[in-house]
Amino acid sequence: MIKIIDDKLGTREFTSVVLIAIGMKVTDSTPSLLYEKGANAAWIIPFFYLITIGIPFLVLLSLLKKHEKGLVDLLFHLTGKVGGTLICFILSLLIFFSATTSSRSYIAIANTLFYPKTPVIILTFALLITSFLVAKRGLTAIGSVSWFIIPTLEFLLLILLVSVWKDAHLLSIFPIAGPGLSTLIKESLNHSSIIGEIIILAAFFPFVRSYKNYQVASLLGLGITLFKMSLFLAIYVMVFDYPSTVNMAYPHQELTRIAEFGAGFTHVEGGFFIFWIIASIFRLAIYLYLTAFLLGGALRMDKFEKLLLPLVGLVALSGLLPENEFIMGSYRDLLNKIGSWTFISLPFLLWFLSKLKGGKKNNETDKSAC
Amino acid sequence: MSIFEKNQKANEEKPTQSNQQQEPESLSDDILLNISKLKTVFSFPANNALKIRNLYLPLYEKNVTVLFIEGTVDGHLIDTTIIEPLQKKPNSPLPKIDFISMLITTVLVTSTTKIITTLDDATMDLLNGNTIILVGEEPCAISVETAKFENRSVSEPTTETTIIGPKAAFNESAAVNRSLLRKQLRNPDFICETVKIGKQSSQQVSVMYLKNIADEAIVNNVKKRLKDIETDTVLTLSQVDQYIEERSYSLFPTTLMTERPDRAASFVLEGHVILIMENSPTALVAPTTFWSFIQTVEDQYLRMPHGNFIRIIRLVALMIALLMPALYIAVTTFHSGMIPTDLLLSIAATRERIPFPVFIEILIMEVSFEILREAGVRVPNTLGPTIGIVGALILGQAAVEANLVSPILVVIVSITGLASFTVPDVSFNITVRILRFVFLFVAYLFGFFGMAIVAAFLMAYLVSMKSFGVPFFAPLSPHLPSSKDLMTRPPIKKQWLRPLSMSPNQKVRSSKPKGMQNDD
Repeated sequence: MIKIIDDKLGTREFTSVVLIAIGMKVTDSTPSLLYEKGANAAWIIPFFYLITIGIPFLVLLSLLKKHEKGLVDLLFHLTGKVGGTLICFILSLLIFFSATTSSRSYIAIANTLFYPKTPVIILTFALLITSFLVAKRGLTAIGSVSWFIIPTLEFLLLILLVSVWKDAHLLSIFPIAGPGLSTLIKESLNHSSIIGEIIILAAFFPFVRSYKNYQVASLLGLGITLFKMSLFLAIYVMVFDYPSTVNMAYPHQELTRIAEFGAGFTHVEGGFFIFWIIASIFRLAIYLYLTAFLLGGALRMDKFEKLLLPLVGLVALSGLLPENEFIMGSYRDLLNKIGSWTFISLPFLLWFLSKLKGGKKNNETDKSAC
Repeated sequence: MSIFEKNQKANEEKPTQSNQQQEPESLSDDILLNISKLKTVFSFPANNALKIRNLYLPLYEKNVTVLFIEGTVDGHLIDTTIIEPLQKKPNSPLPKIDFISMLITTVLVTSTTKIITTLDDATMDLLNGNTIILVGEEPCAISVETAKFENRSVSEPTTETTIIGPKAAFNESAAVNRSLLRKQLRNPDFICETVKIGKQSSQQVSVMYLKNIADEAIVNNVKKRLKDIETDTVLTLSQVDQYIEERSYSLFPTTLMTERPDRAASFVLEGHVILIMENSPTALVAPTTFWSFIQTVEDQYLRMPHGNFIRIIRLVALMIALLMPALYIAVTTFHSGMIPTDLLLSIAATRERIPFPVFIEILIMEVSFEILREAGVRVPNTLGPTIGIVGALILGQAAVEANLVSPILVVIVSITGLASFTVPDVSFNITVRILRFVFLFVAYLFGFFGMAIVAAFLMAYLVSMKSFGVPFFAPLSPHLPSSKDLMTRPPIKKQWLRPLSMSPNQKVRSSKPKGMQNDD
């Protein structure tokens, strides 16, 4: 008999969490990052992610299976107290920056495209307070609500695709390799952090019902995200053509402006906007919860949910700092690089330590057996 | 210090109280003493409710006293089944056993008779409509069931009407309600437990469930919450509902009231618990999910495509009832590009002479509609038609001609009002109406952004809300196996699985056609 509610995430819920946390990136200002160097071949980069992030992630999966521990406990178990605290802190910082830049960029989108007269402060606080209230209800709630909304979101993306199809020119994606394969590979490595957050999401492993659920959900989530990202990076180029995509900060919103349902409804961007804002609230909630969880792990706090309120204030304030709007842009590349290499190297480091420790342990048990 | 003393006093008093509760006063073998004690309990003769009839039985050479409470008993039944047999000579020879047992086995011709030994039992039984027979020199009494309370007959449902399907509804008698349920579910596993609530005039609540299906944890949870009610009197099930629900301040109901025995039975078959109580023409269903509030029995009684059609219409209506005025305000204030130009121009033209901002305009109309609605419920039947006339004036041409509102707004408010009538459950209906104003307000402030914020919070709140441990949106989210009888439903033959969100003991429905009937 299944227990009524075990307060854990199933496959569907966790897949939805992955899809909202990472899959949503294709609808914000992330694509412009990739178009900068990737040019018209940016849509190939997600395929390279399969290798650059896929392999570290598989290594991490094997570690999770072996130790049956979430990322935080794994870090403490393998790297010791100091190492664990340090790495947890770095990871929470990375996620915190990610949350800050995304919230700032969401507000910028809402502000420039829909509410030019509404003060940014009010928009920021309205968005973040709602995210906080959602995050406050716990990860089970976030997972359930993600699964509740994700079919609608993906269906809307499909509708968007269909409604702009007539404006897409297939020839625009040629030449296939764009700026050259070596540039693409280099870029995919430097921007792995876009997808690499899947590795940090392993911190939520203890919240998932079983390892099998986690494995299926995260791989499925990763697969769909990469496919979606590639598809939309291609669609943006096909609709807007190459040079203009680079200068386009919010290609998704531009795309929704082009979409129309027949002659009567030529401006349907508002409809997409509602669901996009809902999704971004849930995404920020996931990020807030993740930051709080990692920070709580670093500080060895059991009631890490108490960190949510100070964190949300911090995210709001740092997003509102007028300097950040400009400076973050230049630091973003650096952060991306740091993040990418952290995410790629972390699983290997852990794997190495696990082998080392595992070897020791085996030796010890062998000795005792003797 | 004084607090400390009080506590101490309370502690000292407690044991004596509990002692009293542990040892109820038993009946003595002096019949006169027993009668005088009962007289004191019922304040006889100031209170003339207690009726006392002294009899001398020459056949047995005994004094007996028959007691009952006026208004709770069937007088004719007492005459024919108690008084008459006592004074008549039995046809067969009397068995040689003690007098009380002899009376029960041979003389009294009623179906339910029991021996009671305490004063409390006698008092309770008298209140419940039993007749008490005290016998001289015996420290016990006979309690005969003769209850008959005034009651209306089983009639048609008034709030949950359907075109097809059974037409019987619960009424104010718990016995009748239980019988209506038993008529639906002839199953030995259909349990009816009684829980007493209320300290002063204790009421009985029947907790009914299927032993082989309902999850024990849920049943115990419901019973525990009933027992935890700390008040002297609870009059109806609606109040019980408010005592046992988890969130008193929440807009969303977590229990369901139904007046249809067939609906209640279908919930029982899914593992829900049903509460029945005297004086309440409804059954209370716990736990409840979101789906029960938007579904009706007719969805299942109609064929699958037809049932789904009306269900989808109701879902659309729910969305309209909740969001239409907010959408209108958001679109006209913030996103005017979204509506076709011709329509935009005509809206602007009709609004030309309206002195108010659109928010005030829509508020006037919505509030008038709510007033009209409330008035429609409270108005005496004889004045009923007046409401229609006045309502049509306020919400119609007159308001437009007075330049108070624009014609398109009349259309918006009317369709919203109409749509809100399709929400089948009364409490959920009010929830939707309140939320409509919330959406209206945020749409006025932030347009779609505000609506998205409220919607996001509501979603997160609803999926994490639990009714007796069952998530509100289960089995959709969090996902659990079920027959997918949610927004739409599959054909009845494919609904072979019970929703596992209820943790039923038997996951699969029995092959009996009756077991296929469900509505959640």
